[in-house]
Amino acid sequence: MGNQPKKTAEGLFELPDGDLDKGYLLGSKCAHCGMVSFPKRKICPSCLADDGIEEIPLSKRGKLFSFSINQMAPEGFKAPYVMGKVDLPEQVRIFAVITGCPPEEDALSIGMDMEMAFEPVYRGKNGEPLVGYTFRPAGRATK
Amino acid sequence: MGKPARNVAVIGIGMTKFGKHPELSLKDLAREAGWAAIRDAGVDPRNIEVIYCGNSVEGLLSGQEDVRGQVVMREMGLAGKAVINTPNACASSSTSFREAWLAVASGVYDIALAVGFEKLYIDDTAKTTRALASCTDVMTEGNMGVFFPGMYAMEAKRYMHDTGCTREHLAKVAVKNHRNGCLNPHAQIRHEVTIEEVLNSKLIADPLTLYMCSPIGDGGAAAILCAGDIAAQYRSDPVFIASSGMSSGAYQDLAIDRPSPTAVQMAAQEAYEIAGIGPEDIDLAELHDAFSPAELIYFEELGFCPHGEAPRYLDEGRTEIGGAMPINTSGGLECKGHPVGATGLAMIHEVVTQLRGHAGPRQVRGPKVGLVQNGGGLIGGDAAAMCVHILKI
Repeated sequence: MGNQPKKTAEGLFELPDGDLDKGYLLGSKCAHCGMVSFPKRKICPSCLADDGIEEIPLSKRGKLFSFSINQMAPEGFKAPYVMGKVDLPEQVRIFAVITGCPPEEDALSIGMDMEMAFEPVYRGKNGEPLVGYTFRPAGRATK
Repeated sequence: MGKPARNVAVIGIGMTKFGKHPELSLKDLAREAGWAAIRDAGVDPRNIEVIYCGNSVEGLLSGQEDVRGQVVMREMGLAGKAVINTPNACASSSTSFREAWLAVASGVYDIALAVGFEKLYIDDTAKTTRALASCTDVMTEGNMGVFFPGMYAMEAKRYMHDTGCTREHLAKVAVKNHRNGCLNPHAQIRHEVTIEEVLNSKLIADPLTLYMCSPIGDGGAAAILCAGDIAAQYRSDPVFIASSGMSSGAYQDLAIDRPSPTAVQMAAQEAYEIAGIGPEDIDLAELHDAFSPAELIYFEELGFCPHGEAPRYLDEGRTEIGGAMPINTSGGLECKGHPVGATGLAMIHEVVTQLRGHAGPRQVRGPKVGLVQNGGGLIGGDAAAMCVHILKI
């Protein structure tokens, strides 16, 4: 076991060996109707089955549904910053902060390929960085 | 789903001027609005039997949790009554109104008070913004960088991508609502703007600029409801509640390939069904334009025009006060203001004022039926709470 970084929340994603590069989102798939959910659920939101729900890793690549370059920021974030929604092949749309590109309109476009990353998203109560999932344009060099 | 057991009337309305009121406490805002409604109804406050109170984020801003309604009612001289708190983000006081309607419609109570109050202006925008971000699923959204204008910006971008809507259309909504707000003495923002001024105002989250966004502010709003058969004892011009529909989002983001109706569509369907009417029967509406693009999107979802047509209706002037389908005659959330817990009842205040024929320079010609659409919170790309009320004379 590697050294596990502090996460934004438990149960949303795994970081095998504490390695950010190996991180993946935890979803669930219903054996009855095939619905994939994020976060993982005990009850299928589509057919309401309460058995046969299997935990699955979600894809790390998807397409940008929409995005926003925010010129103001809530506590814990610095403006300008980018957030977006990314559609995964499992038909789940994920909301996340977008990094790895300048906070400018022409750096992103609806429909472009995105890839998931795991990195500190905000700071906890004691100022410690908390690791969460983000997206960045696919194929860009990481930091 | 059935019909209400009995008819319910709105016999009193009241609201504070919306705006930045550092001199007024939360109790002041609630008292001023509540007593304005009591006086407007001409009801003896001792005869109010049940009170529903809407407030969203006071707990996070000042630490006053849970019993906010009881705290302000003591201040209003109405201690001892049944008080129910209905926090539901930006739809908190629409929820109060709806629960008051159900309480009177049930036959258990004859006279109810619904009041909404909010103090967002604390001279710390980041703290207020963070408090509002709690009106989401904090685990996957609120703590992960949610910024409400940005959430609407994403929806707007997508809407523009999928339809012929342009930045100019978003600006035109703001221009119309600023013009209406100038005519409303309760409005927070009372100056006209041009399309250029809207487009050149401070960028908040592209395509949204400052003048397309509702401001942070303070306010209170209230309504007195009573059984329909005693309304004539109080006034000659009661407004009746035809219906109130409510839904929570189906959160389509979580199942892209399994589309379902939106929160607005579901709440509207319920409201139309209970009232026994359709969108073509509505004479005017107050829509939840927390940000300009929302007015266009909700206009379509309520069935006032086909998908993608709202920008054209706007271009043709149909949503102006003098148009075929006036929208946000009050100035909307953008200009009347958006102290979130007071917003729903302030929207109801406008529609009741219009149906009474008391709206002065912003009066619509002879309206009989008005609609209020008020949403709250965001989860998975849709509203957490959505109310659609239909009022008629």
